[in-house]
Amino acid sequence: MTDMTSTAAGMTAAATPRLKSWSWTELLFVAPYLLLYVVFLVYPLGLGFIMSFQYFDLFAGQAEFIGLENYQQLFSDRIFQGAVVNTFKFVIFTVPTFVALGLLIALALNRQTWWAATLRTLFFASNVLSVTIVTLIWRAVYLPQKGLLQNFLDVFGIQNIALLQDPNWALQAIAVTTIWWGIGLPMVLFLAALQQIPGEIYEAAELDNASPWQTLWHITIPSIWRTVVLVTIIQIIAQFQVFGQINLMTAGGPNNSTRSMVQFVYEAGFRQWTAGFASAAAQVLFVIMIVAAGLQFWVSRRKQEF
Amino acid sequence: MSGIELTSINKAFGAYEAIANLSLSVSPGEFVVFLGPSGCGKTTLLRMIAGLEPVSAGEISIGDRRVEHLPPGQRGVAMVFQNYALYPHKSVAENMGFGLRNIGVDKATVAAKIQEAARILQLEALLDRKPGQLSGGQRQRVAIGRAIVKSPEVFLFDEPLSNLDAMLRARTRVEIARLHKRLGATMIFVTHDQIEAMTMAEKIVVMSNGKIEQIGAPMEIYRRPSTRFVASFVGVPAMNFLEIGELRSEGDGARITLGGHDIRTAVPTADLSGALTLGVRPEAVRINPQGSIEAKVDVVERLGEKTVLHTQLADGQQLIAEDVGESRVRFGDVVRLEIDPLRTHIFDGKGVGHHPARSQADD
Amino acid sequence: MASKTIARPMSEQILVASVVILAIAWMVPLVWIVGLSFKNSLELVVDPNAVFRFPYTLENYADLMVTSNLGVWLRNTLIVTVTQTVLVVAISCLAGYGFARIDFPGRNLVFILVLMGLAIPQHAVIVPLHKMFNDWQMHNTFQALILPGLAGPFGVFLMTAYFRAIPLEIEEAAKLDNASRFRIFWEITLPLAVPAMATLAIFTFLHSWNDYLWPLISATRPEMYTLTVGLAATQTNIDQSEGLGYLMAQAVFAGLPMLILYIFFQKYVVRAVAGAAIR
Repeated sequence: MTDMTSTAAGMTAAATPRLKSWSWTELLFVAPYLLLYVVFLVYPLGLGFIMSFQYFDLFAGQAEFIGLENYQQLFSDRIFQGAVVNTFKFVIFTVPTFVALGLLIALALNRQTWWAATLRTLFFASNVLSVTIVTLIWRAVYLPQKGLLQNFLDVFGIQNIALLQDPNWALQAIAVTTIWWGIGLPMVLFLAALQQIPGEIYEAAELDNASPWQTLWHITIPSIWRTVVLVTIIQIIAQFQVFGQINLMTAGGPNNSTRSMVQFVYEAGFRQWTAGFASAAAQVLFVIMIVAAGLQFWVSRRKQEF
Repeated sequence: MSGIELTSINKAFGAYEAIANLSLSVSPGEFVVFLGPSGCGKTTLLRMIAGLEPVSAGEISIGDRRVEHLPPGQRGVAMVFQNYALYPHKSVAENMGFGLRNIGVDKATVAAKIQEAARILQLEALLDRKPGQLSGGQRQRVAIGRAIVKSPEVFLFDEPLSNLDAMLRARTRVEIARLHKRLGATMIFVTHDQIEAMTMAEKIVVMSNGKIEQIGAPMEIYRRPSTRFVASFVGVPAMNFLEIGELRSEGDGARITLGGHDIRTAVPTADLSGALTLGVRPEAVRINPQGSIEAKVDVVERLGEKTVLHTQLADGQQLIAEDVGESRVRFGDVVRLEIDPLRTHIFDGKGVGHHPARSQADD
Repeated sequence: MASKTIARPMSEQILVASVVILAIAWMVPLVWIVGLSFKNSLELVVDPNAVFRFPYTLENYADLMVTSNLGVWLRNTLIVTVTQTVLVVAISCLAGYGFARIDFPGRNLVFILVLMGLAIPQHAVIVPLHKMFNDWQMHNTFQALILPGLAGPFGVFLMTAYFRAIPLEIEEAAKLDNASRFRIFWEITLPLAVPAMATLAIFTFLHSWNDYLWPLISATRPEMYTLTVGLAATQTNIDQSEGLGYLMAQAVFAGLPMLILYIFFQKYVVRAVAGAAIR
């Protein structure tokens, strides 16, 4: 019986053309993007991988295969080791602050009043400025003698503050700039999450005589826990790639104390023109980023568990 | 006006066979309803006729044209969708004219057809509105209007009334029936609502699990359900099913012992085999002081024109009976019931229905 | 029933008060540099506190118009940003529709491969990308500034998700109305995707306008600088610079278009940025 129907099906298909669900010309919808994707993202990714095993002379256009030499050199490079440490330090300086401060601001501004709306606008505004403008502002703030910070500290009689020139403070100073620049994003993500919490839960908590602290810890935070995790990962990914602020404010100095991994890649690739070596460093960065992105994917797909 | 011929239709989604070897013929100008629960394959079947879903095997003809390989636009069909599927950013007139414009009909003809459809459906005042500015009933009429302007050979309706409230649904039912008389076109209407099927269809196709259970006129389906599934799906309140204890032949019908009660039926006993079930519609179960069945009333539903009594027999089986609107019966009463032998059905072990001989059952 | 509003608890008042103070701290640098931009630079050299008192002047902005390359950089930025935005939206709409609606074999696999591109940071491909444009001798051209920005998968991801959420019924109705595939896309589905297109356009515009690393590497001739790179070049020796007021006038001038855009389209900007972050 099964045999007969399948034979009949085969004969029908052969006898008359099938109703088509797609045609070749319709591939023109996806073709332009796929072309760009392959040429400007997939191909460079592969090329970078290959370059990381080569000694590369950009100007002579010559490449020589040298195996793992770039990687060996990289891992024994004190400055690269320092850059990795600096990058992790920068992430530790910024990410918890982003999460805590972003949540604090969101909790305070999660209300329908004109002043809350104004302050939300203000906190997000710096987000739309380019890194060059942000650093222009903050270099002026940190300026020795003439800067806003020095002006302010003068009141307390503190003299000669030069944060960006101080190896012990430069990275922290850049972290503060970064938080000023980027606090708007965690704030709006937390606000969006807070608005998802049904008001009835708070009314129920009130009927159960919960104090504000208890409400915060037992209702608000658990309800937005997934967003807390998500914001943390988003910020880790973003801050791991810190480059512009550092390049513009200290260029990795003083004494390499602010050199980050991306800044290292930039210096190696476009200051010293050692493209193979820079590619090897970029591969290390890429692997770390893939792990972080995988984590983000995993978290954002697991809706309820967090 | 064209008929539709479906021959040995198969539809598989991966390994799952949604429709197996289905054949059906629809006469020109006929109003056919595909009736069945959700997931029975009725919508899939409609979409295959429309060309929105390819058939896995089999032939579809509309009129004398083979169409199963043609794209939807070339099959000469128009469809009214469950959620209307109006183009949200186009006005009512543009919605109706889009199909004609696409096949290069000139502007004047398009305008005339839109006017004509708008007049039939009383949409003239709404032609410049967007769908978002219309009520549910008005959107429904626009969706029908969009079908009408194309003067299709076949109209397809995919549960178009399910988003309307009860009042509007009843009214639209009548309007669609009227439209069918007026246009005389072939119409196929898919629904899971047996009232819609009963009221509008000339022919009902009852489906279940991708197979046709029965094809017939509404009263045929109601009076002589060919399977237990059809019997249970059509009719509100649903048909009573009682397990038959003992059965013997007496005269031209079976006589049944059921929970100690003796019930006479007009169903011939010749072909009965397997575990048997008695089927009887509530309206065939009436209160009668001389009735052979004793039952205790546990719920009384007063519907106005009639009263529905939910009762329990001595052996625990449920039996639903009907009484007049002004029924005096109350909760907890013990009543005597009688079953009309000419309106009984017996379903055999395979679920096939057996009915009283035709000459007796039909008037 | 005695009072209409229930008294807010003390802890909340402290929270709000601290956030208000924070907001003021957030605003001070902005106000301060705007103040600087209206001060005579020499006056600031003598006494930085001069910013807090009259006289204020427009001379920095006047100088800006005459002496700086800001006009050229602004033009370059506009060319790059507008082209990139238009192309990204167009290409993403096409591809998004393709991935959402065209049932070509291997579609899901290709789409997943494209989505994986979301995890590739720009920084990881910057060295080979530079080599490619170097080989093609295309650095310091608009093509070089524009093309790499078209490859990011975010727009495709966004538009695919949006198209998938549009009921299929509407397109099926159009099929029955004899509309061709492109006509369905252009006349039926695309108009319904305008909100997503707006989000994508704003995000791309913002991203492109503020891009720093690639133009820094690719545009090495001052006449090809974008605003970000140009401003970066002028601030290299801010510590020695005696033209603090002039520099800040540049910052204000360059930042203002974005701030204005933000104020007018705040809802969309926030949605675009947040949407891109979450994906």
